[in-house]
Amino acid sequence: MEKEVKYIIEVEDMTVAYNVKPVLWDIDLKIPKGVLMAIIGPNGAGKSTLIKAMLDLIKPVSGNVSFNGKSYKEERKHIGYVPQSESVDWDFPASVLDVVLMGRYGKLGWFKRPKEEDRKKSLEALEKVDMGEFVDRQISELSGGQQQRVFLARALVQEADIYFMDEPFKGVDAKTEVAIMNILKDLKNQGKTVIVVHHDLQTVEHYFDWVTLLNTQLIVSGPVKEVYTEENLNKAYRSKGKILRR
Amino acid sequence: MKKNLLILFTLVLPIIIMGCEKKSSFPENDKPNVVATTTLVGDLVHNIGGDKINLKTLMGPGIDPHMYKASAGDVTAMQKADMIIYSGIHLEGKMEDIFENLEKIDKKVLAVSKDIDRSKLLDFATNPGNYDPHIWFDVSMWKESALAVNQGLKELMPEEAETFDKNLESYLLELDELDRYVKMRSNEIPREKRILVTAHDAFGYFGEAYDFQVKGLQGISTAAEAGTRDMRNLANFIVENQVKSVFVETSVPRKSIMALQEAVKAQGFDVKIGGELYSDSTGDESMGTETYIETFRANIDTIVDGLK
Amino acid sequence: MNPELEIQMIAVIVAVASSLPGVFLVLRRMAMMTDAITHTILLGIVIAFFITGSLTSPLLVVGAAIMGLLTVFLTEVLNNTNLMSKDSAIGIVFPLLFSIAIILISKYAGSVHLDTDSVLLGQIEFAPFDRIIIGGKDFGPRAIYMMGTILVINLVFVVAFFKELKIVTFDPALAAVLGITPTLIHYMLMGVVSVTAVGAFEAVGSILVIAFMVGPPVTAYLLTDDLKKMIVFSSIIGALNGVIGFNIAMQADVSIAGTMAVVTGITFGLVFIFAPKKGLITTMNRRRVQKKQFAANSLLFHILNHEREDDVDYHNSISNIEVNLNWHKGYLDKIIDSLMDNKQIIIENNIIYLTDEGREYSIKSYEDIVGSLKGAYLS
Repeated sequence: MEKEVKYIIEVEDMTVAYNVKPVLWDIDLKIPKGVLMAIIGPNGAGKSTLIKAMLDLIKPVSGNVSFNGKSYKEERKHIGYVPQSESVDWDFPASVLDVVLMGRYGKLGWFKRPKEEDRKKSLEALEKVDMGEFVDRQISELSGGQQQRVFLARALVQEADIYFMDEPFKGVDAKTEVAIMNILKDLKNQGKTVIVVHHDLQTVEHYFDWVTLLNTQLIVSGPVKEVYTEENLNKAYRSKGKILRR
Repeated sequence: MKKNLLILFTLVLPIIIMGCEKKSSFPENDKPNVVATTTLVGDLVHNIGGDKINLKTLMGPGIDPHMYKASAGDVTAMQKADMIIYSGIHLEGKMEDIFENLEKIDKKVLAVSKDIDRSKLLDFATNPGNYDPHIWFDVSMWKESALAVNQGLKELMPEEAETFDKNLESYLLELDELDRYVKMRSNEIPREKRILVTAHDAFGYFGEAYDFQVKGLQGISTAAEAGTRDMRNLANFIVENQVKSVFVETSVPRKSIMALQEAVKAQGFDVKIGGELYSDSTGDESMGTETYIETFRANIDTIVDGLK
Repeated sequence: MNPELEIQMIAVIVAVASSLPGVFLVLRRMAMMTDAITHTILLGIVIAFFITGSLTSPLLVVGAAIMGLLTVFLTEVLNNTNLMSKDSAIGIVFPLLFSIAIILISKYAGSVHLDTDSVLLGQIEFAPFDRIIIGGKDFGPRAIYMMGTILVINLVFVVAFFKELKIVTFDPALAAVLGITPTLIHYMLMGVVSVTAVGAFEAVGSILVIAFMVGPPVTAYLLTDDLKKMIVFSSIIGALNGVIGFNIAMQADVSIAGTMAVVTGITFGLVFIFAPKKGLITTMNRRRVQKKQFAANSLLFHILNHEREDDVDYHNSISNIEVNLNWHKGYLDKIIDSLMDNKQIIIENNIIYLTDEGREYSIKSYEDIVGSLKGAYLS
């Protein structure tokens, strides 16, 4: 009998600490399939840490994450990740295509080289993010927005069902922001789940349909229309003033 | 890109061409080529072989054998050598293994210390089985070394055996005379005052042979720094025995022995630096000490004058 | 037996063998590792000496190799805690292990001649004389076999794991998500680095280990933007450094290892200055062009801003612009000349006017700059 899975990601009792300082405290989070979700919170709220802990990149003190009711390791092939662009060295000797091809490495397995098909998919992804003319460009020559688009293309070729993106809008120009957003909406329309660490409070309602407010503890998580309120934001940011410009 | 590479090449080219004066390692003649490692071994080989051989000494005067780095010319010399003569007992370290291995092909190889009775060698209390290689400041051992060289050269050139024997005979007489001189000078100092404090333990056999109590500040290896406790103990020893002078060595840095001098001064006793001793090599021509005999004479004069 | 040829062969083999892991070491910004390994192996030698009691035992070399692995292992462990940078991790492990060795020597083996040089040959000059001779038959220098084996291992390693090495070096987080364990690859790489460093130390000496493992990759990095090419260039540069260094040393009768290391430095220096894309001259030229371009744009914006004002004669006169922008007369003239050459401005009665082309260009580049600023403000 098939078990009905309502939520694609379930986080239970997740606590992460550096030394004795908790960064995440007892997070219980359920994310339904097919949402475009923003993780929002002040600096140091543990937004990046949360997705890293969900991806097993950081060992939590306690807690459990399941994807489709299975462990991360079993579901790894269906999970895509876009790290913060400044987490890598952009002077690394590689071209734009090289970097996008890296997204295929997980599918290839050990020892195998990227094939023509992987190359084709990578080129397609680059077209999608409007970077088609930069295929052979050295990555050190890219602007911040172009770097993000390359990372996005790399995520696309992972052909995952669940995407985690760490601040994909950081340091990008307005044009790129729109382009990225269109792709994220595309992914959602294909039924994929996209989780984005986000910092621009004003665009949340515009871009996302699901939101998680975080400040070490989980403040609230749910549909943007219901939970993205002035009151919850004040809780997350521990302030009293008006945060949203509406 | 091409233009830049061209510039690069034109800059490198002169470096390759320059300095065309190539030092030849051996003269072109029919005599056998012999390579000696240290200046002391070289001098010994020269005294026995004379002009019957072409001799090349790898290490220059004042070079610590542990720190020796070969030059390009040394490679050619080694290649052309018919015979390699070295000191042995691990003085030349890893090089000795290589020399011994070469014996299996076309080269003759000889350690001058090979016939010295192992029971006469100084064993290290802390690490048994590893011997002190500084055999040359005991003339009797150097005489045995001379015999070994003589034998080796005779195997290399049986036709010149007579010459080598004659050379050996006269050199042994010179060494006997040196031995008498060292003993005579040593006797100028009462036995209880014969204390030799130096920068490193190169005078163990000298002490045994001529009744000196030898104290080295650091071990046989010139790479290890002297420990602080060693320093303090030695300073106490100098004060207790009212040692007049301590000595520095040509192939090791002065600074440790000067630190010792300061440590002694702190205890209210003044110890002089008696001068520089040759330890692992001969002196050079400018000092008139380019041979073993002159080197040893200079050493014993320095020691005795310093302690008197 | 031809030692001249053999030394050059050994140098080439060591250069290529060292370049392979060296490229990744440099890209991981862990070049200091080679220096650390060439020092810490002393501890392995000392401990092996205490066990065997002999200076000639082959176990001493084994001890050296194990200590090289331990050095990289400890560094990776510290590195993985994320509590310190890679350089700091090396900076802690290296002096710790090295000083333990020194203390052990001065305490227990003070009288024995025990140092790295006495166990590892470490002189390329002698490498051709350290031969494999079996039953009176000469099979050539040991170093060629030893480093040849290491070369093959490194080659197989880099070819087999090229993709994995690339991704864990560039983006370890993504690699981990994709199931390519970065820790495993890093340990493997550092193991290869350690074995290569100890082997090369034995064959050619400590100076050349560092010179071959770090110098050529850093030089190649300036010449190419492609990882594969970087490895190939690095191998070629390393081999050339070795051969050129050897020949200079033979001419001048000086230390071969020393000359090879000096040539490595000179090659790097030349490439650093003359490299086509990343060299000093190109970079300085590019900066000058960019600066001039920016100045030209500023001038265009200034004229654009004021061209619709009533007192345009005053604002856009050359003399006023000189005062307003606070530029040297000569510099201003140069910018004006280049803009006139581009047909973006014209001058009438000492007043600068935009051409239609110039206006179009100014508006477009103005929007580009403002557009990118908006993005920056958002974050």
